[in-house]
Amino acid sequence: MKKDKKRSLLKIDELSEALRSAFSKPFTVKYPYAPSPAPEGFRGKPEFDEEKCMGCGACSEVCPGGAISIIDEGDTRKIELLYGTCTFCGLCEECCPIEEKGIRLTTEFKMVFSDKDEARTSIEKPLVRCERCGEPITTVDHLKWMIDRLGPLAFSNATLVSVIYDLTLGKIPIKEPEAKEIDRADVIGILCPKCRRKAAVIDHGYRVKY
Amino acid sequence: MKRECTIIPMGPFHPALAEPEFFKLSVKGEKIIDVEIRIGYNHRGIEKLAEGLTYNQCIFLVERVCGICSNIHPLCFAQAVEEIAGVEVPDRAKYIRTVIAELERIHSHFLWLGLAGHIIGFDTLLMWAWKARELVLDIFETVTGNRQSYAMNAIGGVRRDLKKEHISKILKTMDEAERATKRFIKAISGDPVTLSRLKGVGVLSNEDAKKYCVVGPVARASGLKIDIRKDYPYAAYDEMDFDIPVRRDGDALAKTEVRLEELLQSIRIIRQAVDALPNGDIKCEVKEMPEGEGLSRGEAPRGEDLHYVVSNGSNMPERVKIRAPTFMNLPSIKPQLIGNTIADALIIIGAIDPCFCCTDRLTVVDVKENREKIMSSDELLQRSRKKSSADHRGS
Repeated sequence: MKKDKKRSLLKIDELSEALRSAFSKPFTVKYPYAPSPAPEGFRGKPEFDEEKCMGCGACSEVCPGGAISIIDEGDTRKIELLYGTCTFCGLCEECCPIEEKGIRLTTEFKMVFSDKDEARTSIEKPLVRCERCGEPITTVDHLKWMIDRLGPLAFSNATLVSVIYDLTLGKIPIKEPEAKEIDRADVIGILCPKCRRKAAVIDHGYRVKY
Repeated sequence: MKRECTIIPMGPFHPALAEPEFFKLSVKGEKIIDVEIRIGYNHRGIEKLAEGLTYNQCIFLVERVCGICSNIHPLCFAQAVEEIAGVEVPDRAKYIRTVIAELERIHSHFLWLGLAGHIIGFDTLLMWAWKARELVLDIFETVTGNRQSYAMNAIGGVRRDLKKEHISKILKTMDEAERATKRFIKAISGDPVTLSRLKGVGVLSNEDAKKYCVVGPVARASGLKIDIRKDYPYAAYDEMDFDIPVRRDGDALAKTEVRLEELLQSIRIIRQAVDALPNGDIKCEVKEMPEGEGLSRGEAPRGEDLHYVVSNGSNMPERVKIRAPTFMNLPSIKPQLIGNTIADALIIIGAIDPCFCCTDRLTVVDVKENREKIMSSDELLQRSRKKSSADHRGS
């Protein structure tokens, strides 16, 4: 008898919940038809900033899933992010050396693609190559950023001096690589560390064999 | 006589879907007389992968060991690395870690409660529990930036700070979670069908619990008062005041009650931690990594989680060893299942809250008629639910 009374009381509780649910609006959101914005600070789709990103590639170094890759082709450096591999951890944003952040996680969570090749974003930046061997050095924007940060100290580096010279003349410091032997004149030029070492050990007409 | 047989499961093998798991039950009629458990279908080589990543990247790798306990794994890993580096985490970071860890426990227990209700055919409980869980996930979305895989931990602290508006939201949600938990306690203790399905089912005796070295709520439901938060306090647990709920029966009902009471204790801890949140930094810098080894333990929603890291002085770990709680709890299914019916098998397996919650498929070997039948989880669910409706008619 007591048990029955307890059970009937419980049913009242469930009934009241059922009635309340029947007359209140649904707890769920009709998502694709009604907007369902993510809160501020949501870690969503990462996007590159065309202006702020300098193409240094720090994000590709830290990415735990290996979603960001650097592709150097001709005179351009392409930094590509694959949404399929991205884990939305936000390390790329955290480790971006620019204060205003060249890559940011947006609050966008809609990532529906009909083709897997669409599930990517990329940014292209002009690339500076070594004048002699043609090895990629870094992007123009990255060199500008370095010169900016170093101040007068930038004049201690011959590659940076050459870049400053070109930039002050209004030229883009990109030259067609010329495969010839390194001579003394190459000390002032845009060289990769390997070629610079070679150029630096050449001494007054006395050619070292390497 | 037991029939020897090997069954290779063929089926949807996808780590993102129902997690692959294999239980071979030998039955006599309806009664289970032997169980064979096979694990390892979901092996992803995370420990080996970790050896090729830097410590900062490893955090996000170990976070993906489990989708539901995605805070405790990085937390334990970070603690082990901090032990090697010899850094002291700022107090504020410790408190934030505690809050996130307890929020995770609440969401995990709600999830389990819903699933348990679903297994025994109490779908209203599933709707209620998951509605309450959704509010907790909303907190995670606002505070950490994602509903799962919070990416909150870093070596030396946490990555995001708790803001004032977050705290008021957390406290508001805690009130609702407390109300919901009390309602669940009432709903379960007052419902004769649920009680008959849970009581005396899948009993794990105290001796067996000790023998199988079970951890977490499963151990606490069998009368073992063990909890890493109390025994070996980490984060800010040594400054928190909370109780460890213990039951002696060891059946599915005891496990449910332990988890329900833990929910209330978690809410208590979060309120204390948020109130006493100290000011200061949330992260300290790790300057260098010496050679050495670190061991760290944490209380995941399912039990003790262990991380062991060996450093060779570089920026990558030399060895990472992870022992998730279900690894300890899973063998204890054997003594729990034997003697019960097939219809109860799913709730018994479910009651230990296995990290691979969905039983991929079950093979039933009928000893009497000497034939095999492979049952999908849907069929089992049907059987389990049929029993509930039979109980309902009977009561």
